[in-house]
Amino acid sequence: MPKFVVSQLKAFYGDAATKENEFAYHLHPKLPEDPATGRLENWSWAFIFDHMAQGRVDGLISFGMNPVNNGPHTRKVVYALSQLKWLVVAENFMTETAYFWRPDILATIGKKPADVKTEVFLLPAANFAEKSGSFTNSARWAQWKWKAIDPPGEAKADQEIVGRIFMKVRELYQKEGGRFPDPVLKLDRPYANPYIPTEEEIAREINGKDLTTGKQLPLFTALKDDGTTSCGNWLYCGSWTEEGNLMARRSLDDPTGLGFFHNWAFNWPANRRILYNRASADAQGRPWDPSRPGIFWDGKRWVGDVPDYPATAPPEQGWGAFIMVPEGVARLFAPKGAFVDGPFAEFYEPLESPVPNLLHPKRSHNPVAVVFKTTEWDRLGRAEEFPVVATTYRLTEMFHYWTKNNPYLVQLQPEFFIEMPEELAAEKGIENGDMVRVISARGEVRGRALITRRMRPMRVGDRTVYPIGMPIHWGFIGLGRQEGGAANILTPTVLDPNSFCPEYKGFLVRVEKA
Amino acid sequence: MAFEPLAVKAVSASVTPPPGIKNVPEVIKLIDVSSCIGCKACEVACQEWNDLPANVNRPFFGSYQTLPDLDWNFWQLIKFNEVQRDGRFIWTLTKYQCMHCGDPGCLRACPAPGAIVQYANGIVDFVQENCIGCGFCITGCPFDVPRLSPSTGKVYKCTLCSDRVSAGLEPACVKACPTKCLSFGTKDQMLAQANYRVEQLKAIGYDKAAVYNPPGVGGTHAVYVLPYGDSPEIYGLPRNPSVSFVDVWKGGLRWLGNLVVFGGILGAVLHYLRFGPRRVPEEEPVPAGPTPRPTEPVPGDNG
Repeated sequence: MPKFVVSQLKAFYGDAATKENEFAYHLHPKLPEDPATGRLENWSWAFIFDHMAQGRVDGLISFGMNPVNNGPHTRKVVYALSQLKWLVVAENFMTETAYFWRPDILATIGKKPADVKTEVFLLPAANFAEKSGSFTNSARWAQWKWKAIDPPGEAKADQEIVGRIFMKVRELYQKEGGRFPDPVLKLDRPYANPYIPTEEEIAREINGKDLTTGKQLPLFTALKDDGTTSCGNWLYCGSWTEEGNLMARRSLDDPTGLGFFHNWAFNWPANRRILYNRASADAQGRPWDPSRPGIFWDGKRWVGDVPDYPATAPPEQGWGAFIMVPEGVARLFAPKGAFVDGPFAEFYEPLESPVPNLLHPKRSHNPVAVVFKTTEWDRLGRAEEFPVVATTYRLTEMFHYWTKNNPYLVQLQPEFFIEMPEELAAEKGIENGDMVRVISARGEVRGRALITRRMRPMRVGDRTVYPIGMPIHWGFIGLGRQEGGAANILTPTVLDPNSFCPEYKGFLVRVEKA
Repeated sequence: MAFEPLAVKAVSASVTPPPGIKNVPEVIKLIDVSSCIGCKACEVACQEWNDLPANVNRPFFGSYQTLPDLDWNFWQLIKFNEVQRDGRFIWTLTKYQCMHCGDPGCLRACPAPGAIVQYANGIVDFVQENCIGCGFCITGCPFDVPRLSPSTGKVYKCTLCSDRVSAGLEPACVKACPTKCLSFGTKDQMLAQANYRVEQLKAIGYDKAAVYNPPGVGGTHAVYVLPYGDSPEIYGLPRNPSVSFVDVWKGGLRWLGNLVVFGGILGAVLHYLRFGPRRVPEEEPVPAGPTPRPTEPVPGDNG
């Protein structure tokens, strides 16, 4: 068993994880096996709600997410939630997910509150400014931040909500037993107060320690597979060492001038600022651009960013830049089995497209894309009925689905709108600011027309295609005009076959003046 | 009004020269239009710092722009204009607010002593307690910035955060800007930065890039870098703003006002000489009762 796994199991189960019991791997949560295929089931985002829609899920605990708005295909998600026995939502504000049983939201699936048996709990949660912790940005910098104010009223930090629920469940298992109590009873919670772990305790636990000396580990290279180290997540090993909380570093020192800032926060892995930085130097270790040397061999060691290999390994040893593949060099194609749709990158039209794929019209879209057919809303539209191409996006003024509770930001963007080209508006008799309907095979939204020359008709093949665009930030609940303008009512549950990322960004609709 | 008094350079409707002796550097807010992303963080920062209310029910009017224009409780606005130029489509996101002119038309036009103050650092500030709500400043402004509040009867506009600046802080909009599109500093620093940025823009193909700091109003303390500097109109900025009409009104045509005033006095004297004093009948008793008062304006209408 790899040292990363053993160390994680030690962090989870502590003394209950021993060499003899395979470090309690049998207690670790695992995906169920599909008896028909013998393969592990898929429980990524869209599959969770598909399983839920099939009545396979009893309960859902939802933190910091608003699936009704942010998943593809809102109506399917509302239907899926209505199949739950119970739902717990921990949030800063009332959300469409916590209130999916409100008459106007349930009306989207033709149900009434009396039809729904789901028991719903909304727990007030502290927001980002009301608790300490770390943010990891898209450049992998884990930056510590400090609580600014106490959460209002009964709102609690996420780890306290989890801690209290967990301790209550453990208490019930202790009293009443159960089918498989050990994962709950043997989970190690080495916190001063197991009901309220501190952010610092959790961060130290994630970094991990040497169990023989009790010292914080310096880096993931120190992990062992014999059960003498613990580490919640090897990527963050090195973030809270014996030197302290390296995520809290705030030095603006940048000797290379390339913006590495090695002493600002912690960059997983190993505080490395650029992955595969070896690619910035030639075979002899000389920088391709001497004026901007990302990393170079100075005769004795690698200088610049943190190398991906031993810092003193000379270039002749031939460490490649791409350390995650055995050959160490970039790949032009993927080996067999790496991607289910083949070794080469290939262009496919979206499942819903008004035109055939000009490269190979008989195989317009990805033949192994995941397409659901579970509910009556898992439908795809055809261009004859839905000739307009739609996409969705975010606005700089808003952040997902919760800034609609901030009065200043709602003033900046008060209402759901649909951007469309002048030509489409003229064809449909739509004036700027008019109310319009947008209809896809899944559902319908109403919003204001924003007619703009930023969106142009496209000439594709032998036809003119109109694109329209909708920001995602509105829904049923919040300040301003929240009248059901949730863009994801329209989007399909179609997934990329490798990443299972939903195909939010290209689908077909029809536009009408309301 | 400033939290700690800033040195004064000029005061409306006042002939006494200000007593400033200190050498105060002028300040400039630099707006690099080329790096604005239209996030409007500056709009929110302005409203929050100045305790101006948010209107969550404002109508949608088919634009990304928050409001059609400035308002008495909305002192700066990102203008979103879609224009076609040289075969290229441009979406000009341009911050608009008081320009803090070197030669402020509002201050020249204002008849209320002390209602408009120009500080030695260049900030032009409205002092609402001295404002009489006549609206002359609105007419006098070549940028159409000041706005009269119907609820308070006073005129308001961007203060360049004179309260923050007097405490050594940058204006709230500058602090909030995530792209460094906005900078704040001394005039020398900011003009040097503006010129440097113009050279950068020229180097990447914006050969008409220019600094917008119009001389017709004595230069401004809100200065722009415009990628298409030869066409300020596409950014919603006037090409050649000037205060000349204020000059005509309060300078060249001053004799007319003098004629009216002194002619009136002369006429009164002549009238007295010709007809003598007016004979007033004996005063009648005034009925007792409360003196009617004008209704107090209510500040802070939340719109």
